[in-house]
Amino acid sequence: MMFSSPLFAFLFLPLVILFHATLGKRRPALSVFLIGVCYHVLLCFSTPQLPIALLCLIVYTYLAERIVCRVRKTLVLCIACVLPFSALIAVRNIAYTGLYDFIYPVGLGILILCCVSYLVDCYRNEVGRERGLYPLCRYLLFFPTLVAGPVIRYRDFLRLTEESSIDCDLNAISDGAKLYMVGFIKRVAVGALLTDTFFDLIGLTSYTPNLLVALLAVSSLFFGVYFTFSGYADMGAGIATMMGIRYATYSPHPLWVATPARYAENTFGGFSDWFGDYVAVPLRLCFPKKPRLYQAVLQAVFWIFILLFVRTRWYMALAALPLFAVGYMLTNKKTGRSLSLPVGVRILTGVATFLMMGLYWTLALSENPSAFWEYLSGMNTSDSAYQISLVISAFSGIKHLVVVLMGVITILPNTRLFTHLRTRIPTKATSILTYLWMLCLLVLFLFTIVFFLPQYPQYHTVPFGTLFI
Amino acid sequence: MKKKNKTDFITVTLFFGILLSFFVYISIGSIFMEQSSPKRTKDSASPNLLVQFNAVLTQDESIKSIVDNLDYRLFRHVSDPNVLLGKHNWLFEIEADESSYNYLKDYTGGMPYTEEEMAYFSECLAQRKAAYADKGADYLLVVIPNSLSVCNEAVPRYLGEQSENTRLRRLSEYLKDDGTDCFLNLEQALEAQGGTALYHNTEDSLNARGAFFVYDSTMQVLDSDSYDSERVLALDDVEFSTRTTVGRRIAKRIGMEKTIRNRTVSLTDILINRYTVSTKRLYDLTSYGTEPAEDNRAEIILAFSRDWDKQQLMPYFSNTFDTAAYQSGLEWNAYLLDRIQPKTVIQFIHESELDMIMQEIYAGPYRRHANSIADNHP
Repeated sequence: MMFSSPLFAFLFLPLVILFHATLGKRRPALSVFLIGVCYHVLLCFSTPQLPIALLCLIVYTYLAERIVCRVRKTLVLCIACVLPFSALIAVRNIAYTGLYDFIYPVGLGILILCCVSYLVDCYRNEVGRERGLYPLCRYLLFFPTLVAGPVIRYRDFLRLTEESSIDCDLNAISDGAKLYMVGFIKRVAVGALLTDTFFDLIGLTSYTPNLLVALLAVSSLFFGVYFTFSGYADMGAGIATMMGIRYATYSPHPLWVATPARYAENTFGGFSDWFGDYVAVPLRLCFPKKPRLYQAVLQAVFWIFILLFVRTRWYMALAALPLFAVGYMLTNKKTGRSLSLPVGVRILTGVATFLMMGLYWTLALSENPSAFWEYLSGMNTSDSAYQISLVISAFSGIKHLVVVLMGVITILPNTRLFTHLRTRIPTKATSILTYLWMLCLLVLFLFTIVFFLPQYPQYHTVPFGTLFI
Repeated sequence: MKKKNKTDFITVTLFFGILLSFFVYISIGSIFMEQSSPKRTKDSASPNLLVQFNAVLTQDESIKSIVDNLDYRLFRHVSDPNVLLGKHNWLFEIEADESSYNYLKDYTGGMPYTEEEMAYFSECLAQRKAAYADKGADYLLVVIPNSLSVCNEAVPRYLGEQSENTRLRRLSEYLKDDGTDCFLNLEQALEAQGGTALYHNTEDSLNARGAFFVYDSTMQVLDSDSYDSERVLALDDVEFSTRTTVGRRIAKRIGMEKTIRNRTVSLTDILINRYTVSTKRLYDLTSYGTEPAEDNRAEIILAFSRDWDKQQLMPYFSNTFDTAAYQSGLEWNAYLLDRIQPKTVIQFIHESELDMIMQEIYAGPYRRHANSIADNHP
């Protein structure tokens, strides 16, 4: 039961918001917890793996926290934090082999990061008396961040879900609804179609690979991944906002990235707090006078972290090496920070990043690396007239154009240009613009439900297809 | 602040209005689905209604139809990658269903015959001609072009002009240079008559008007001694009626037969059929007049690779020849020839089926017969 599935959107969401805004108003924190329980119970029907994994994680984290707080040794904490990651790798391997029709539990990676956050925050004594089974369950059952993050640190979660900070009023529901609609359009219309386009293009030219078509396919996947990931993040934030919990949303822009590291920071921006607090800070303490070495280790750990989150295989690790190398080269020797590049170089490195990341995602999707190399090595210019005609025929009409336009409309309010415009134009015009944007969003949302949602039933239960297992 | 509240209220009302409308629609749909499914599948076992709730949207026929209609009408797009959407509601197939022939690749000149293949094709034709000559019949192979090759007005602009390198064009030139006289390419003839008026817009097949021009072009190359020239039909002798009907094969394939209608052209009653048809086991025999042919003999055998062409061409040829036999398929049949003893054999084949002439299953019997003739008359 993903956020874009009919069961969630048409039944679960209206019911829980109604419940939360009426009966849950007295005890909103408890209401959020109950809603989380309901969500996981319903999730059991479609993907029973996750609730089982969740139960195991709760038990493990609870016991680990008891041990860590009693022994209070850093080594014990490290072991307690690393152990769930090895479980994650084991579960992934079972999912890859496809044994027993095993489906990878959605959001397991996020849940493991949350467990680590809980353990570290408890170890650091930053949570007061908010430790134990009930607070832990409350934290791990908070489902809006389950699919695409952001990973909220435990101490932040406690602050956000205090009875006094939860404010489920009309304004919150309206803002949440807008965010949810934006995310829904991004995922169900734009992300799904662009990912589909990648498969269509590769399928159409599988016998006679063509460079131009391959570039088109890689670009569509690049943007497909962005819209999919960003869509889930927005939907999650929207659901949380409707429940009166407003956490900092991040708005990644895949186009304005000059290096792979920036791309990763943008796309996986939801992990930055977690990563900064639990990885970067301890690492900096290890290398106090060696900023470049610290940066290199941090980059390496970051890429390992990303590899753990996305579909990981040995050739993916190999593919990540050049990305890491480029990131390392583009850091300042003294400060260890990213170099500020001239505009021309930034555009060049931006194009290179675009291609590298596109190829990276392509590799992530290919079942078999030899098929990927076969496609690359089989490229030729023969039959180019036919290839081009075939591709234009498959993408004739204005469907893809409209979807691109929908994508632009959804990301427009987050752009600097739009913010700049809003400050320049009169207030009356701004409110008219806001009205128009809201109406446009509602129409596009309705259209997405009618036209796109029935076409992609696979995403009702598996949010990223085969990309993030 | 009041204004902001008003906007929020409208947003929330419309948002939940949309969600709840679909909730009602899907709930009703899932209840009906539950009642109408005779057996519970494994998928719909225990939490039946919850699972079906998700399924309704993807399985509901009316929603499917809305999606297809929106895709076509709003975006001018069809979901099947094997279908090429032309102008003015024309549909073309990209790859043939039953063979590996690719219409689009041939159109762009991406799959021409090699010199060796063309030489072999010529050899196969010569063997056919020799085999029929041995049975005392003249032989003609008539090639009906693809609608994509002829209907220029309907071909999407991005495809550009048809390549000079198509199989049919190159083969025609080769056979012309080779001196082969039993091969008739109708591409130019049909194009001159306005291609789009001669074909169905939702299937690569001729309509009654197209069939008339196939007949007309064929009659022009036949030896005038083999038929009564007064009975040859002219365009003035026939009349066509046009109406829209349910979309044909390609439209059905993409589930759009009700949306993309077929422009059907058929013969009117002005052409009176003055022949009698008698159906035999291997062929149909027509005889001019009200009496069936007595001795099962016919002046001409017309063999077709597709039965549809036979139906379309029968009224024209049967009103022209005293007796005519109609054979389905292009196989060699010595028994049929001995029985009918025709003066002429005409085989009709489509541009997309040219390979058939060279395929061993069809070419083998002709070659064996031609070789046996050569052995008997060294």
